Amino acid sequence: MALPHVNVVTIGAGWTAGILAEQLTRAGQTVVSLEQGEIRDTALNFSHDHDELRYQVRRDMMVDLQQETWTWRPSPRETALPMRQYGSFNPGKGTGGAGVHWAAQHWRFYPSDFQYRTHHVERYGEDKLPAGNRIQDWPVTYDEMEKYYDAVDYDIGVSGKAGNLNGEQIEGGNVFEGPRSREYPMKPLTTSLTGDKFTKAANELGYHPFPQPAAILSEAYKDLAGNPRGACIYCGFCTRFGCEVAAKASAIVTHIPAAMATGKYEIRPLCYVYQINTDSDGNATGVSYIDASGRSQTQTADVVIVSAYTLTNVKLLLRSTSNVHASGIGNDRGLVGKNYTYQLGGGGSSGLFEGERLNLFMGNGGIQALIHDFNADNFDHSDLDFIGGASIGCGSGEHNPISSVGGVPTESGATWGKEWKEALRNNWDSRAGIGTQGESLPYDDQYLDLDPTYRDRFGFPLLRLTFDWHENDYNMIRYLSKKIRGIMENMGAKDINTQEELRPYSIGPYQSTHCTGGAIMGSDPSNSVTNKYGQVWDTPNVFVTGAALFPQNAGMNPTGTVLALAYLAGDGLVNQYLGEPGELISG
Amino acid sequence: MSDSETRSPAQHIAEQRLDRRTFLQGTGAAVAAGSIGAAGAIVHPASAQDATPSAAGSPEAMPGMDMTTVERPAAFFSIHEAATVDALASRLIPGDESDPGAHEAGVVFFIDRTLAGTNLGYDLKTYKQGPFPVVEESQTPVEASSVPDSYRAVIISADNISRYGFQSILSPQDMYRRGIEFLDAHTNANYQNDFVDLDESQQDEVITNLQQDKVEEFTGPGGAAFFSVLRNDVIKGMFSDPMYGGNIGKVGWSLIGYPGAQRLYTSEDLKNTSFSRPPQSLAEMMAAEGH
Repeated sequence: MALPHVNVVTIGAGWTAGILAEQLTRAGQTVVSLEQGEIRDTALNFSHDHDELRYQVRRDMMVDLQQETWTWRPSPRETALPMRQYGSFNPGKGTGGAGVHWAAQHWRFYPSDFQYRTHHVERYGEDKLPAGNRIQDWPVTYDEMEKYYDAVDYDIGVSGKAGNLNGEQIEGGNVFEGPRSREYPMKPLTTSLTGDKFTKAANELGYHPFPQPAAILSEAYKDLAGNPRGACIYCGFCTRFGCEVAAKASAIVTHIPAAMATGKYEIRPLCYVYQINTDSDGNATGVSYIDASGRSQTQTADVVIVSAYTLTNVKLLLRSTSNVHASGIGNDRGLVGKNYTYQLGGGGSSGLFEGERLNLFMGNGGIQALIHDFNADNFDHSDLDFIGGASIGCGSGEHNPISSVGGVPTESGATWGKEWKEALRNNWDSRAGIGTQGESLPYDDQYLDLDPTYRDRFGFPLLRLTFDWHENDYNMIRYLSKKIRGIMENMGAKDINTQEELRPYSIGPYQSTHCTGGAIMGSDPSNSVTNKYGQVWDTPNVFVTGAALFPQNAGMNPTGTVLALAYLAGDGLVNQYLGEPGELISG
Repeated sequence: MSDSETRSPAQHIAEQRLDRRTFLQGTGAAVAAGSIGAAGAIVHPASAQDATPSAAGSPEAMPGMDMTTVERPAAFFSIHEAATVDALASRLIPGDESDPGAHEAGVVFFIDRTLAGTNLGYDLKTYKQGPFPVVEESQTPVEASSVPDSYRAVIISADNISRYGFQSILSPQDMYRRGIEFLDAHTNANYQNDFVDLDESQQDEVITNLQQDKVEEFTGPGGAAFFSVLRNDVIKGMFSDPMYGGNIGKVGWSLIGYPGAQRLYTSEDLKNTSFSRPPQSLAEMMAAEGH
């Protein structure tokens, strides 16, 4: 029996699906979200989640790798193997998606990030860009994005301190950021012992430290759904956990309830979408999925929003082949999967504050102190052998034991036995770390495609990642690691361990869930898969959301920009497309 | 365990269980374990037996009975396997009654329960479909599949294999079962005894060689891989919530000064350099809140 037609179907019920469902239902559209995971509820699911083994180690809220995983190889000359157990990144499942178990570090990209190619060519010349790069400008500017960033800040509740209000620099905030039209809706989160040490040391060195902006409430707040939400209780179970007091923003506490209140929204859980369907003209007609009972179903819709995790979005575009779109939706020019980028890490230092308790097990994902003196083009690269930079932050919380005792060092290098046990007893809560989140640039030999060998549980091909670090990355980390060590030394730490050299990429250890690119937005169909609204050039009733749209990734967490882009897409859909379906005018 | 070399494995585990019971009663941990049980959380079968005075008909009440045929005190391990893992864990995090380590924390019970799960002992989400990699010493990269046969081997260069993360075809159950067999083969060849019957310095020597992948008896899993799995599991058993069978009496958390499951901390707590709070399990946290 055919399912009733709806106006809009979204793949997944995470952050961007929730945002667009809220905006579209409010505009009178019927929306169905097909979610591969379960329905989640703050009180029912998260009041008893202070369990590191289940959530942090066993990754209860992440995709079941038995159902689907991703394969990786370091270069096009090598063979890919599947990520058999969780490593590099943690895609989520369930309503709210990865945006439930995120760290909630919330950023705006820099004006120069949006005009990356133009900015760098103008300042340093074309030759400064690394060989084989696919760097390009975004089809939007920071100034155009500002109103969407602002709306997100106030709709979900973001804590922080402005460093640039309408062009006026403010000490104590991030003085490098693009101009904000308003202050953050609430003060920054509380600081920590290590954050305070970092701030003092960075100030002494002439840097510009500031508190992490976070989508975690520092005080009670009423967000767009009109629901009062309480402030963070710093419980220490934050990243990889759901928030039991809804202080950490996610779609399940902000946009999904608002969309549900319209009566026009349905979330169908445990539905695994495997294909976007098209008609003989190449327009999308809806999606096919495997439902909770294992049956294949088809949901027709006027508009399909491809709003799952970055890697899932790219895979579904590639997999949805037809006579009109022989190599997949959006892929008529072979650009789907290109410009795959990640988040550079490494170069960090850890140091011992002997005899001091640092209370690192408290807090949340967003109470660190940072500097951006070495991020983006905030420092002169004329005499440096790389472009770009990284956030440098002092991790300050949610240090749970199973995930952290293994790395506690000993004098002899022993990793077990009496000496190691003594190190755990004396130093486990006395070692602080400073780390990076760096830019990741696109290259010709870095891309996503369908794996020729490995299959998901239903027999569909897995997505294959071809990715490794490049010379620009190695050079950047070599430079930053010295700066980081200098801060750690100035903090007064002993026994400092520094990662001076970036190691080749490995999918084994967790690094970042910031997989970006693969269905990028651009100025025209020759350089991109979508326009600035995420509308697919060759299939205009399909919209892609999320970080797959990024031409390259900036030196900070992508979610703030992902959410603002969803607001931009919502603006285009509601205010242009619904009145006159067709290709939206980018201007 | 000074006289361990004179005991049979069966005697060893029987005494170990008695040791553990004595420990629980002696430190007050029995009270905590009992209260968790009363709150309805799952208690390891072995732990439940330990907390109950020997009933008529239980093997402990009938010395001389062959315990291996009457009862498996463990859910997955044989008696000898459990004793071996307990001995290994005891060297990784040594301890005694006054300063508990992995043995006192019941880490072997955690590992045993994990391995006894319905999924071949996999406690992490795992993609299990083939093909699995075969490591090729040649530096020449091999071109990707032209024959998409999911049962053929995928050849990966030795230089790169460590970059692909976990790729073992062995389940955790196989990993332990085979690993313990290899371990005893090694110690019998070199020390004329099973691992459990070596003295502590010999055990440490064997573990060091395992970690450095120098034990040739380990033909899959390799020695270093076995060590790595073991160490990870010992850490999990020592520092996870007691409801999973280890960290009995929250001794792992006490060791490092971790307060366990707390509902909240204040801004003042974050800045308090002499903060200290006794550890609390998740069940205790929920019970304290009246759930």
